[in-house]
Amino acid sequence: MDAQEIPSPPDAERPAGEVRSRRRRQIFVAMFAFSLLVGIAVGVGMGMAEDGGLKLTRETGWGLAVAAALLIAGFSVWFYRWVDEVEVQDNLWANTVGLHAGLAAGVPWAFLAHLGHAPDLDLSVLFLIIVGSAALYYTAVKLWRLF
Amino acid sequence: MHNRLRLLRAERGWSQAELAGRLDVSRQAVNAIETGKHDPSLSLAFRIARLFDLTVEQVFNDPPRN
Repeated sequence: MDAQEIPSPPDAERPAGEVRSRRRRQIFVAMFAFSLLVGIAVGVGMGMAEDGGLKLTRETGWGLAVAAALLIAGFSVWFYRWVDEVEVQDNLWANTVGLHAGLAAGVPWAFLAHLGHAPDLDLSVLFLIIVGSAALYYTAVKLWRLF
Repeated sequence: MHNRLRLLRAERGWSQAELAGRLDVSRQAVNAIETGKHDPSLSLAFRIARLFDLTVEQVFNDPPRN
């Protein structure tokens, strides 16, 4: 392959690196705010459903479940295409760490609980283990890259 | 993997952010590659080599493992 065949686009047509970085940060903040709003909406909805203030039919429940799955899948495809490869790598490793921590903690716990040697599996604790381990890894790798 | 990215960038007087803009990656990605904390994908390695008008082997080298 000829090393000269793909020149960089002219500088005039290209936003500066700082501009791109600012855009990335703005998209990240918007994404975070959107996630927060979705989280609040889900939390309020769940609370209302548990209190009996919100009646869900089976069809609505399935519709919401499918919509959530599509939203998560769509977001993942968009996110991993949009971010650069270092961020993809860090995110994927953090997800993998969270998944493995969840499996390593959840499966033995459920098994021991089934045998009566441990309290019943607490999904909130399991969720904290998964999210906590992923966040811990992500923070550690970012600090490692920083220093 | 060893690389000459920092040296090549310095020769052209580019900041990490400027190089990142030319490669369409984040400044953190450039920093991670320069400090050897991230091995770029084949696609990015070729983009880097083309930007400096070099071959991939002239930018990156993988020392033999014992």
